[in-house]
Amino acid sequence: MNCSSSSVLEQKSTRALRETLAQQTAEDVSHTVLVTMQGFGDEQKKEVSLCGVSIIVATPSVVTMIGTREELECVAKKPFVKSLELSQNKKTQ
Amino acid sequence: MKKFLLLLALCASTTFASAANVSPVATKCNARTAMVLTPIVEYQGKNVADYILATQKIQFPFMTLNNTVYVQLLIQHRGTMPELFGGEIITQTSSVAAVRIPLNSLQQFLQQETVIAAELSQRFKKSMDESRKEIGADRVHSGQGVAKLTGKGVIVGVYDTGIDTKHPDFSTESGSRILYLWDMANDGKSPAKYPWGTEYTKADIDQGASQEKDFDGHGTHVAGTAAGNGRGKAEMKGIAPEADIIVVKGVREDNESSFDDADIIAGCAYIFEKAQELGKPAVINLSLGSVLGPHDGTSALEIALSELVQPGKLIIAAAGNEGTLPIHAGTSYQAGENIGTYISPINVCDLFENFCPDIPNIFVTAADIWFKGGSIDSMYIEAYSSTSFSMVGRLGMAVGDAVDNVELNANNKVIGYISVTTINNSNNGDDNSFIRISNNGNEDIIIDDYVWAYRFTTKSAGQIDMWAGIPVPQDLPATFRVFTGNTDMTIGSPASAKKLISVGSYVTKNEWDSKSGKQSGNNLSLGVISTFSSKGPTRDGRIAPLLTAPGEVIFAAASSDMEQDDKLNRISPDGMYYGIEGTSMATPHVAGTVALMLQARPTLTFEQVSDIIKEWSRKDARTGENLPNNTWGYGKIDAYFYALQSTLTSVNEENYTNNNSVNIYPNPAYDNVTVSVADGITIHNVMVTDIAGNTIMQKANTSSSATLSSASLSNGVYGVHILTSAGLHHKVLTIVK
Repeated sequence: MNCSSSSVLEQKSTRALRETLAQQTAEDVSHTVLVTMQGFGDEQKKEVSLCGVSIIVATPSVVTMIGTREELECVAKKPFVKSLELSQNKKTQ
Repeated sequence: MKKFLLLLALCASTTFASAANVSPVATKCNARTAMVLTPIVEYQGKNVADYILATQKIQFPFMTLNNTVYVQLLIQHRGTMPELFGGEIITQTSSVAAVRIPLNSLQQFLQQETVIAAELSQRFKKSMDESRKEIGADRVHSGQGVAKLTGKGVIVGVYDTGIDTKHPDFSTESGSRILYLWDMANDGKSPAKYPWGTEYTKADIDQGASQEKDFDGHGTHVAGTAAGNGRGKAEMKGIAPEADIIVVKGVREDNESSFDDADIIAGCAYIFEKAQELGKPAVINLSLGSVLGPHDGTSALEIALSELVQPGKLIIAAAGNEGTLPIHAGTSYQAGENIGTYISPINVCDLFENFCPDIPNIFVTAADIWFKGGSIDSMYIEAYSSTSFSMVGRLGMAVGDAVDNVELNANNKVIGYISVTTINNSNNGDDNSFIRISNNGNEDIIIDDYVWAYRFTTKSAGQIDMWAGIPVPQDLPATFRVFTGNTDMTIGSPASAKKLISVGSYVTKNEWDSKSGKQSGNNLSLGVISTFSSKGPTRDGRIAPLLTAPGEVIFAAASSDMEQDDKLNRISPDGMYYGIEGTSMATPHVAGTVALMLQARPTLTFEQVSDIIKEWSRKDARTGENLPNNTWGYGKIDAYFYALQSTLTSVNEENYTNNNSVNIYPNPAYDNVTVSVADGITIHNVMVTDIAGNTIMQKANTSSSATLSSASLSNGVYGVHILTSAGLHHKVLTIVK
């Protein structure tokens, strides 16, 4: 599996994930991300799973997953992946 | 809107009836107000304040301040604020204001042409039962004019800080009403699909096996409002008292009160999956949010939640509590412009958890900037002296340049470290820049010693919106076109999602009994918008919030696991209920109401519920006539009309054809028409519509016959829709005159 290029990940990451990845140099740290897809069915699930990420929950076009930088780079390279967002906090109102 | 027309007609007739009386009290005040004020203003030839003092009527809404007697009113006005004759504004929207007027000047004040209407401020009631009555839920519970609905057979899902499973409002004689409880904070036997936390079933809870605790109390409170059954105290019953409950304690640490996006999606998916297994409709309450994000429903969280929404599966979200903070600034721009805004920096480390590095003395101010259409040439971050307003430092960059922790110097010292990230967001195609100015923990670098400007030169026409902190109020000298801050678009995420129902807050209580005695809420006026209630529109131009509901101050179930000693003035004397405010508290009023609607029609879609809310929300003197708007949305929640409409649309073919048991006579009719059913059956409601489906008249009823005046109907054919205890029936009525 060739997942070496990071440019696609940077291109598809929204701001907070890009900043987090820039600050985080250790390769084995996992990040929880929300990945927006152009549709997510069995075929896409199979392809994403091969990258080694752990899928938490999926809706028709958003998948939450946990993965290292290398695993997320692999996911970002899939043509059906639109964007990757860092999971962030919401507070009680 | 149909209801509005009916109400307008009623108001018009009231005005006509009192037109002969020249007193401004009679022509501009409602009946209750006129009753109180007429003897005062007619106390001719004497100081009216003496009258008040003599009759010892110094009680709210009258008050004495510096030996002057004032009356507190809610007024509608046109144009600029009328002369106040030494009074003052307490709070205001564009056309409605709460004001305090010297009683001696009341006549003069009301006589002003710009004063359209006035009402006495009302004092607030003491418990949950008032907000429940206020929204019409009591009528729905008892089946007055509508089928009896209590949420039975519907799941109310609460994703929050947990729940006090021992609180009596969440159980019946048959044990707990909580069917499932997923505690994400403590690992144990996790749900089958989600490998973290602990899942408890109703049986676990009934056997006392649940270890879950709500240390914060927020989740218990919102669950009590949405679905408490008042078993602890009958008057504290919530909106859907017979609904089943599923709770996700969504925090990852027991004492936290913030939630992770990924967990919110998992929690909502879990609740809907459980509801599906049980074969029940469900509504989820999300009393949470953040002001960061694209504000157009295209964040991944908002897309995911919108996709979880299905027929019979709905999500309600708090609009947010940023309504008083002018943290948004925006403007449209043309090519070749030089635009910018001045900001007084605020430390966002206090606002957003895990946003700043965990180091002492850290101060970070930030701006989240979105560009729609058009492109930007250059961006400048400038520091100005807060006393002389002269520029002391500037960092310029081409848009798209990565700037990472760059020193900005002034007078040979560092005044901040600047980082800028700009990306094109593939979910909406917009450019998004994020600016951070930090002291990196150096306490000698005082970011808020300076006024900061974010400035842009533009290449082509577009729209900029930024969420950046508090704008500087002064008109500073500028070499660029300044766009200033406002409270527009303070609606948070996920409330701006395209298929979530967003909820703002209005006031329904300002006085209550507590463990530390009688308390008051700082002269809050009944029915006015909560100042904190976040405003729309969304960045893609949708009205927000969709509606408003009681959110200030709401008493509901108190968690016995939360610290109570520091909030005794908010805890009811029996210790079982707790009073707090926020759009968090408004949201479960809507969630509970939607549960009532789902009981009537279990497959209601987001679009159907939205349409009912848009058409049947309440408009009054506080909301003003100009609805929808981005403060009130489509108006105040009306559980009665929402439930009625849900019931009226919950018909099947059998209902439509089973008309034999309903008589309507005479038909053709002239001035009156009577509808009757067999003894033992009750007519709850009769609605008359024209051939276009517009509601012409409606009458609530409690017996087996109902007579309506058809005098105002023109010749023609009408539909008559009769809701009875045996079902819904439709008849055709002909009017001949």
